[in-house]
Amino acid sequence: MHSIPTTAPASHVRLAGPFIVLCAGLVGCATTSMTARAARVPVLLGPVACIGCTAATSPPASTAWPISDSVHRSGGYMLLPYLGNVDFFGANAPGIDLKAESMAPDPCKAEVRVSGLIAESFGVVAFVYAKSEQTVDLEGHVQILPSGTCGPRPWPYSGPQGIVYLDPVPSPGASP
Amino acid sequence: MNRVLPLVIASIVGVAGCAGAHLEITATQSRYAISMSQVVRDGSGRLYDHHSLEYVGSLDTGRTRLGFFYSALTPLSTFDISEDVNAQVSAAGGEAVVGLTVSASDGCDILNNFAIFNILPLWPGCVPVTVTGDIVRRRSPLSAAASSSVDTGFATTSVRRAP
Repeated sequence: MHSIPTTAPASHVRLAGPFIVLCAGLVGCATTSMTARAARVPVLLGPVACIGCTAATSPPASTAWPISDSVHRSGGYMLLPYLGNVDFFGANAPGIDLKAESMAPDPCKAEVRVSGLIAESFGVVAFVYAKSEQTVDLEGHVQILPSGTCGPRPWPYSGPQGIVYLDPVPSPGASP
Repeated sequence: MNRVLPLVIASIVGVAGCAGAHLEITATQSRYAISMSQVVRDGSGRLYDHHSLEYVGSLDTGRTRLGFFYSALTPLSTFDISEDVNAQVSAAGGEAVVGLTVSASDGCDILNNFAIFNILPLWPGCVPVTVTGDIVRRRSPLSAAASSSVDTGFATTSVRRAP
């Protein structure tokens, strides 16, 4: 009796997806990062709120609104009966810079004080399902510094995400 | 198919395991200002950006922590970067750290996703965390004016003076 050739993938082919996911985990080259490099307001961690200050001499701030952000990266696979492997992946970028600017009525007088910054890595394996996830969570408050000023700036200037602003430079002594 | 599905579900539930860890990053004893953006204020409230700040070095530190009981317990779950910040900023002659970036890598996936073994509550998971940033100090007014048309390279966006 002759065997009938089938088009079903061999077992080693079906395990290729999980194997690749496992090898990617061994390399450990993918990262999830929380930063606010595009923000025009200080996003401060720690007790010292200004350059050249100490914790005791940092100027007081008032009017705080809570702010939070989270970045995560996840990936994994699922083995579905009769269907094969399904790999999945998801990630998002930090948005604390845009959130801070949208919440601050005046970027020249606003700043963010970070109260919590937590990184987490987690993995789950359930026979035909595996998922790996890295997360960085940020919590803080948007605060108003009454004495805050932007100082001189060049023209034109760029804001978050590289947007170039062409509004005129205020003359010295002019009210903002 | 009707007989296979309960077996698949039972297998999924029966052999499910997980592992991981978490780490809180703090800077409670820092002697320098640390900003996750590229700007920082001075004592008078004036904002300093990459035109008025001079890059003098890089901050680079990190820790890896183990977690147990399916990530519920992470001993030494607080990482205070103050000591590293104080030492590296002082060594570089800087005044503050800007562009602070906290990264968690997938370098622990082999532990967190170790099939069968991570069913055990004592199987360790872990989280590798890297903290980087730019060490800066204030420019003198003259050098700040001269450099305002030059991209210093440590900012993600560059601004050039109009002709």
